[in-house]
Amino acid sequence: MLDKSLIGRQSEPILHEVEKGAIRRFAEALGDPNPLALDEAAARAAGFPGLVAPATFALTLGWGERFRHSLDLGTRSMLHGEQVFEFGRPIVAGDRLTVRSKVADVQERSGASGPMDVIIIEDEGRDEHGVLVFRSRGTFILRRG
Amino acid sequence: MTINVRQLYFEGVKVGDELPPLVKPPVDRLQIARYVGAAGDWNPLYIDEPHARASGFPSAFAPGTIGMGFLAELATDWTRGARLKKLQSRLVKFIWPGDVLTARGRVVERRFEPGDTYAMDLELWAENQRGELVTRGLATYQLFYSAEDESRQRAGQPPLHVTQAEEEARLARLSRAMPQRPPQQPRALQPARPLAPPAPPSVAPAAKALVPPRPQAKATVQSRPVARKPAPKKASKKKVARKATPMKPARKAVKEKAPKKQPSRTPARKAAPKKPAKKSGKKRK
Repeated sequence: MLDKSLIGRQSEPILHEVEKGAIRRFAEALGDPNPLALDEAAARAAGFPGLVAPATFALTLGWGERFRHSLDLGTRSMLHGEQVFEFGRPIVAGDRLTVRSKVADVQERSGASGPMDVIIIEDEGRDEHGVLVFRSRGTFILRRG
Repeated sequence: MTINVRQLYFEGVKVGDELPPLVKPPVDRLQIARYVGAAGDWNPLYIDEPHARASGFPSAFAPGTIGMGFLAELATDWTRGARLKKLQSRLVKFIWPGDVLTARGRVVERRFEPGDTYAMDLELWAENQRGELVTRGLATYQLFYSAEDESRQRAGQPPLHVTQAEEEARLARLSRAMPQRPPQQPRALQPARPLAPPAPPSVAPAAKALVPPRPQAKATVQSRPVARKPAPKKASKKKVARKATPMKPARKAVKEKAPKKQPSRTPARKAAPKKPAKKSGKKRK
């Protein structure tokens, strides 16, 4: 059973500089041909200052290794169960986003292979002006044994 | 370079609109490695086969979010010009190396929101080559109402104000302005009658028992049994006998009801071919 006291634990704010190469690599890895994510001229023509990140790119800005390790979740297998993103605006190359993560909830659920621990992590990314760019909520399942 | 010519506007969206399915190439181990690197999601279960097996899985598998990425790709392509507000996803089933995912979606809701904003919800889902639901999602978009709304907002003007009532009124006017194909489609469905002449034996008893079906029985059975009753008077007995034999039961049934209404009509019809021009006058009586 995961320690309920983890709820509310927050990460340090982490500054992410969104690089166009990272956006392009992410789109290519998905096999997403969207020109807005691959071709700067197309993105500019559409009115964006730079390459536009695919929606799920926000995953790359979520809770980092360091925060994960700080929670001391052990070596159990972790599965991603659900994911929600909310966007204030699209994430664009050149953005400098400050991301904070926190443990929103710790639950116990019964699964096919017995009880499972569930941890819900929320991330929030804001730009230099403090404007909310994205919010993310991931549900992760920790298998027991 | 591709320019996005096509734009999706709120006025052009209907609840129930379906997105053309997106069939992705197989999610192979190379793609998994690439994706894991690009996403920075270094869960060993995705790339370390021995580790995955030791953890009780049949093999390493792909991050579930890759399926979510496919849903986003489908939705983003279809909704060009719209702004993604929210993307929710449930990673239902494992994605194994080699799986072929097909992303699908449809419009499930369309909303006029306060502040002259226009929104829609897309239901999204991906299934694998075995037809199993792998990823399920819901995306909420904000759209420009129309090209006019977009150009106004891009010029720094306030958004176009359209209420649901106004839109409905406009659509109603349009549909009145364009009278649509007066012969309506239901008519096309009628030819059921010639296709299915039911066997008289079964129809006749039904006609006897139930009041409403009577006219039906009349219509279908009419030509044969009805003709037989008046026929004996004018037509030759041989013909009647021949025709009658296979349908005996029907005849009995109809006999009781038919005579009252039909004799006047039927002889005219049946008799006419037999004794052509000469007798036609008599029969009109």
